[in-house]
Amino acid sequence: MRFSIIVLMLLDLVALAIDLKVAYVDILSGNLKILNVESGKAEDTVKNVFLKLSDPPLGFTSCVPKNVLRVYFKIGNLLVIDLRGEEIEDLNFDEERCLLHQILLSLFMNLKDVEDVKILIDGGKRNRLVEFVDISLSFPRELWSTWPQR
Amino acid sequence: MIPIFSLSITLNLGRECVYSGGDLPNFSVLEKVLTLISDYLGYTPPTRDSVADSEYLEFRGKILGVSKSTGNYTLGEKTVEPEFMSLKRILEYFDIPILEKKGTLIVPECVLRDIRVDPNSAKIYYSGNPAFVYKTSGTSLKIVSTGFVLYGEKIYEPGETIVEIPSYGMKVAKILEHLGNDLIFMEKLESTEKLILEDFGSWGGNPIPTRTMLILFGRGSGLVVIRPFSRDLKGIDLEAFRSSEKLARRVANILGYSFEICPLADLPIGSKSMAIFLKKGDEFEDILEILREMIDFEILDNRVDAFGPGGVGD
Repeated sequence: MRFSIIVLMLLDLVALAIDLKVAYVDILSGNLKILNVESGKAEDTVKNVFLKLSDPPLGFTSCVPKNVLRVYFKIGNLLVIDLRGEEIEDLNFDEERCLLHQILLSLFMNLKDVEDVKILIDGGKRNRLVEFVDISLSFPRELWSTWPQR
Repeated sequence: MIPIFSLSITLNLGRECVYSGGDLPNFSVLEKVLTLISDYLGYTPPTRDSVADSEYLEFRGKILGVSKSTGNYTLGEKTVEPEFMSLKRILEYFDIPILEKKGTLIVPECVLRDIRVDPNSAKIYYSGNPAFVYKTSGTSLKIVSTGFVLYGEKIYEPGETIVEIPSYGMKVAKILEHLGNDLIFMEKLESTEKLILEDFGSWGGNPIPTRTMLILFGRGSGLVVIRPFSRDLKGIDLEAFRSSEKLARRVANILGYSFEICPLADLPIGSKSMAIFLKKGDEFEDILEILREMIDFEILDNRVDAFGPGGVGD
């Protein structure tokens, strides 16, 4: 029993040390860059990705605010994320696109079994993320497994 | 017998004069002229020799001789008195193509030897100066002479269309020029025939007619954006995505802009469309000209009025 607890603790430590790949905005160039960061303390990868997205390291910034993720769930290979509308309502044209790309890129890089991502706002289907970006359809891995601005 | 008088004649190689003088130049001059012509038209240069009192020029499998004592010429087995000889007759004897214009003999500076057309390319073989240009239209590739070009039996003058190759809906994508042969890569014309041009932010994602492309213009940092496809639509938006992507990447590449895939709500779902955010200093009309070089189109509707201060993406 004691051995099992030790093994579980060790596994937990290993899990905490797993790196995440997260997309941040390089302050100097204004471009998105993928960084390997140590996983956060949240209980799962999706939450950890959002935690890290809103906490950029020195020299980088992020369009993803804290607490933007309300809830998420999976249906087969589809990941549905539900965002808080009030956290993103002030984003401008560039920030709105930046938020979408940061989230999709980071999720697809860390969740290998996810093939599509669907975005909800405040628990419901919306046509616009904020003002300019259409989120009525799901987003396929093929296009966001690499940064789509080339 | 020496001719009493000799007419003056000018011989041009293309647009360049290579001989001007008596109508019957001596063998030394003839040898130089024929050697120059050989350089351009890809012939083996002439050889000159003398036997007894006769001089000979061997060129293109034929022999021209002249007797120093009688002044008579021999053209193969035929003897011709000098008064019946001329530079023109010598050139014709050696089967050199010539054009006579206002007392000037013109030898072509270029010979189009072969034109091979494949489904996606054309190869042009020639010798001499590449005195021609390629002109494309929606339906054909024209080779137009800029000098004097021999193709088949005819010498084409500047401005004449030498040959018109049906392009079967293709247009010239790239020309690799090598001395002696040009390789022309053809690619399928974009099928778009009608363009709708609109300010970004005004279209609202409304559907567009079939065989039509929507291009939205705004000010920005130099960016071309297309809509992604989505599996929700079970493939019906894939063709529009692929053709939008292909054209948008080329536009971005030529303009030095970034290319981005992002579902801007203003871009209609499942339709060929893109949004171009012009860099400061770039003008809408210039972008249209660049597009015109890439696709054949007619503008169905142009409501671009943008570019006032405070446009999206500024």
